[in-house]
Amino acid sequence: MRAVRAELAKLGTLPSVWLAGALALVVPAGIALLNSRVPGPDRGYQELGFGVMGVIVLGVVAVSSEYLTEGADAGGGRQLATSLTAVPSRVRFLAAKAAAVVLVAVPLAFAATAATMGIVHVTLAERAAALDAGRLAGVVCYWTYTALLAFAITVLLRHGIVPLTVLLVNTSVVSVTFLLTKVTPLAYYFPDMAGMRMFVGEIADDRVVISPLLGLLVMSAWVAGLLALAGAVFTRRDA
Amino acid sequence: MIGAELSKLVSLPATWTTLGSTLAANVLLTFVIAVGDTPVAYSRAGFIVLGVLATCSEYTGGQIRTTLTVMPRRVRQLAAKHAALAVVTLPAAVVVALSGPLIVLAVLGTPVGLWQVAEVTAYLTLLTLVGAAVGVLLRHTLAGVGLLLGGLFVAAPFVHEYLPDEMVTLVVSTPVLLIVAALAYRRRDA
Repeated sequence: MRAVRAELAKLGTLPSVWLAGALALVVPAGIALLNSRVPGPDRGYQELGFGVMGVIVLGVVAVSSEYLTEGADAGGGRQLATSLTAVPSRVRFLAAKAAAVVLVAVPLAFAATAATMGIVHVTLAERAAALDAGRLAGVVCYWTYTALLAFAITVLLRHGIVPLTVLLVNTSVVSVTFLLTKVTPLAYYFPDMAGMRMFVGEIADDRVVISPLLGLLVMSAWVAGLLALAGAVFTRRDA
Repeated sequence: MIGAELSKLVSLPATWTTLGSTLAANVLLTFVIAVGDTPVAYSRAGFIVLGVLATCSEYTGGQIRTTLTVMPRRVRQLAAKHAALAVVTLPAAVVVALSGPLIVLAVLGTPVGLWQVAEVTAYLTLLTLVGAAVGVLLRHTLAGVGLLLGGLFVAAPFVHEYLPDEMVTLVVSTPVLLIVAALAYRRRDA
């Protein structure tokens, strides 16, 4: 528990985490505002699907800040050595960090959902899609899982640039995983494509139908698998 | 001066990894997308990373102090850095811009549009310089990459109807950003 509190303190003092929080609130709400002229059954939900960049930054920075501190006075410092001196059990350290990321990502997801849905309902009034508790829970789940996915990939790579670039490029409107679905239907089972099904009813010209529950299971499997892999690698290799 | 900046840039392993993976991603995406939308729409991310890395690498471990001790005239040093970056980027951009059309030519026999290749090359080079300018302003690799990619891939598709053509926007904004970056660099503590 103390380890979780320490990780939360570390996250709270990182400027990038505050930037991530601002992005998480502004991006989906802003896109919803720009899209507000066109009503539809997925309005609001779709924006929350594209707007996950805030939690991606959160997940990446939580890990990459341990390996590389930028700034003229940081001297390329590796905070990880200090962290592991304080919490020598690697599994406990990683679990505490993941818990801290979840504890930040969940309220962020709630706040972003509230802001985005608020804007949709103000601008569209009665033409807005009705709120559905199951789909809203799907949004929060998708955001939290995305943060953990970014977290696990960054642990594996020990550097933030590659996961940040790949994951951010993949949040574009026509994502790379979506393009891959034109090559093989297996691409519908990528974590983002499957996880999106938890709350977006229709993805353009989809040929494979995945129910929200199956989407949840597929994305859970990806997150659990990557976290387990990250844990295994992190305990075995030199810090 | 340009020679010194060039040798710094060329000796960074990150420069070559970034360019190599950008080309690889571009080639793979060409096969995925086949015809229609250009793969450069995605692989331009690599050039942004290159630009941000080129300027931000000075700030990991305090290399910036050595650099400014040797070349105290800040604006000239920054101009040399950008020139060196352009020297590296231009041929890389030509290769990436050509790779897509060449594959299409080999597979489908559609002729290569030279004007289009030139336009893509210019686009990628300008984008790299924008990345470098943002890197100077933010002095933080992840923040720079996050901001630019977020703007380009997430925000831009939704606001593009309010902006002029992407190339026009870039041609106007690149010199503005470079000047702002140079002014900030000159005034503030390193």
